[in-house]
Amino acid sequence: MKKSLKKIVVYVLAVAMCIQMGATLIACGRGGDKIKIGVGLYQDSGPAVTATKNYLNGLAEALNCEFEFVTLSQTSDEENKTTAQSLIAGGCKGLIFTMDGGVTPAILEECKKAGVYLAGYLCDYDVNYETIKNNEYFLGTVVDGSYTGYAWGEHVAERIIAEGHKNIGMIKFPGFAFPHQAEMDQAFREKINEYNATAADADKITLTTTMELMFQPLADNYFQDNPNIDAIFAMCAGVDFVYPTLVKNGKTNIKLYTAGFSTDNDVLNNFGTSGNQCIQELVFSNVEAITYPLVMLVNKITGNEFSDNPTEAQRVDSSQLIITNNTQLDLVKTKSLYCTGNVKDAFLSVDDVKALLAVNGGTHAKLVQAVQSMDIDDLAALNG
Amino acid sequence: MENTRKERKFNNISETVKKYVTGHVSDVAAYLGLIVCIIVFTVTSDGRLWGNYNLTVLLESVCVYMIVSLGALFVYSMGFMDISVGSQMGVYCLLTILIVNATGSLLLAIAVVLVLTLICGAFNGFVAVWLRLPSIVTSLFLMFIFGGIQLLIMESTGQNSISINYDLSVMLEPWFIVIVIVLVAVMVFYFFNFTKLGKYTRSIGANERATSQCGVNTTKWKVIAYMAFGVSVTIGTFFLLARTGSAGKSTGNSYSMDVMLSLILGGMPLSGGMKSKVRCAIIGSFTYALLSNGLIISGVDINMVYIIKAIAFFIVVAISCREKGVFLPR
Repeated sequence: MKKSLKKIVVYVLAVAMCIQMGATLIACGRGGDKIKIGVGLYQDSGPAVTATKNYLNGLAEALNCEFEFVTLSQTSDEENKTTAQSLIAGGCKGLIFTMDGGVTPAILEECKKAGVYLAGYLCDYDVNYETIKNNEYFLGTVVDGSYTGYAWGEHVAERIIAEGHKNIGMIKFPGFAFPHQAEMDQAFREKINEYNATAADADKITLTTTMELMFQPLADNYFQDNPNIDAIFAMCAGVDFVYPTLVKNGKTNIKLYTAGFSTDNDVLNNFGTSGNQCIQELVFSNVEAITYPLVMLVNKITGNEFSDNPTEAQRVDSSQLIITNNTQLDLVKTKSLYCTGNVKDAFLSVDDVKALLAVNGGTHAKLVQAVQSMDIDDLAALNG
Repeated sequence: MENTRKERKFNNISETVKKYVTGHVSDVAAYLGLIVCIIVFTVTSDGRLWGNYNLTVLLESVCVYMIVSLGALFVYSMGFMDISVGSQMGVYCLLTILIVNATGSLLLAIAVVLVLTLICGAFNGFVAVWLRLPSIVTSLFLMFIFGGIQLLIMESTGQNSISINYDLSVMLEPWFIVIVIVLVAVMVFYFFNFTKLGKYTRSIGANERATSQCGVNTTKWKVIAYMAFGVSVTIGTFFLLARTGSAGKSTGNSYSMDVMLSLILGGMPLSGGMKSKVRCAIIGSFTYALLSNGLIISGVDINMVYIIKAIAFFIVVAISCREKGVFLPR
């Protein structure tokens, strides 16, 4: 009986595998002359991934493209090279990667061998940009917000001053992983120092030494070491790494201004004037920014070129959605592609993207302008 | 009359085939797994599996698996395992980059890595015997040590990954890869089948006590087996580094499990012993690399790749289980 059961299990699994292979046979390799583009994201699930997939799949037919999605490793160059090689071998003519690293030159070598092009998405290619910007197979990248962190640092400082917070905890990720958070930190401090120079003693703002989070949640003893803070400026993903610690330690009276976003109800229901009112600012990049690498790739692969095509690969800033109040949050929740996953909510419609292609009279300047016109005011204007 | 003779002949042949298959279930399953992978992916990839580019890619990814797996044979044939190899390779890659970038000497880096792999091999083998610990425990210890060193090195550089300032592209030329793989395979075949090293490691796997009572110094041969593995780790490390030209926090980490999976997919019994064969490393490495490559070039959803790999792995293990009524014997 036992032996028979084991046999049955093995046969069932074998059949399951065959069915899967069969399904693959039907599903795969029927792209005809479509442009196949491999998209390597650094996450395998979540609202950003869903929205990105929906957006690209929504554009696929109009652009005569098909997309293959893979997840990149955040730490293993070798895995990422293998992934790139497999995508190229699988017939991809273009790659959109959200990850740089020491391996990018090796990936570009593979691209050269196979005549495939690479472009970046929400990644500044800081490690290799200087060496690869003139590589014929690298078509540029769209950055996660601004390449330098000054603007947002200054903006948060202005809000902190306006809100009247006096003791601010400063937290960021390590410099080797996010070098531009140092600029955010610097811009924030300069703005606060500027304010302190003219403020009365009682109104002066004090800042803690900036703490580096090693991709671990904020430690509980942070509040013992910094007992007087009334706000935290988390340049890192504070929703995931700081807010849970605030909740756990009953410190939701401390206001959190943070990079990052979450569609988790615990975050959305405690924002601004709602719930425990702990989270006061959220910021994230738009999925539609992927239009930049996509258009650059489609142009190149179809043999078209912008009249103002840059001579070297560009590192283009993109607009971010900075949410500072409940009205804005409601707008983002109901009308942004990131939250709804609905292509109809995208900043750029299928026709808009088609119009940006070189073959339809698009220019590089228009493309850059498109990915830089997606802030919260643009979202409000788009939705009346 | 004629018909009866033919029938008898047919019965004899089928009886012989049946006997062979019964006696070599794991071998048959391993070959079958590889053949099935080749057929299925040839069809599902619309022939892209056999494209020039893909064959080069396959060769590149197979070479590290195969070189390391061939060396691992000596350890696994004793029924032992080493799960520190991935972390070791990561650290060796980083050390090589640091040494080469500082001195410009690749030879110095090779020498340092070789010495370290031999020391670690000796440590793994000797400490396991000396403290009477299961081999996996000592390798676990090394895994943590090397994992920590890898993190410390990367922290000290202040970067996510570091690149080597040395052209290793010749190591990615198909002819070079083939020559090295053949050389390593021939040497391992020789040492595994025609020298005391291979015979004693297999007999330790089959029955350590009996081997010891035959006058074999099992401690000595265990240490030598681990050191032999170290040599293949050294070679594998340089091919791994040549692939990316860089290394980071988790470089090489997956190789501990990849090597084990390759060997098992090749029909290697985890208990080691006389059924351990060089072909386990060769077939298993091809099957493993083909599984990863074939699924992606066939356009299988990335989320399904792991599930399919797991199913394939389970089927091979279940079929090649060599003791009736037990999975993964001893």
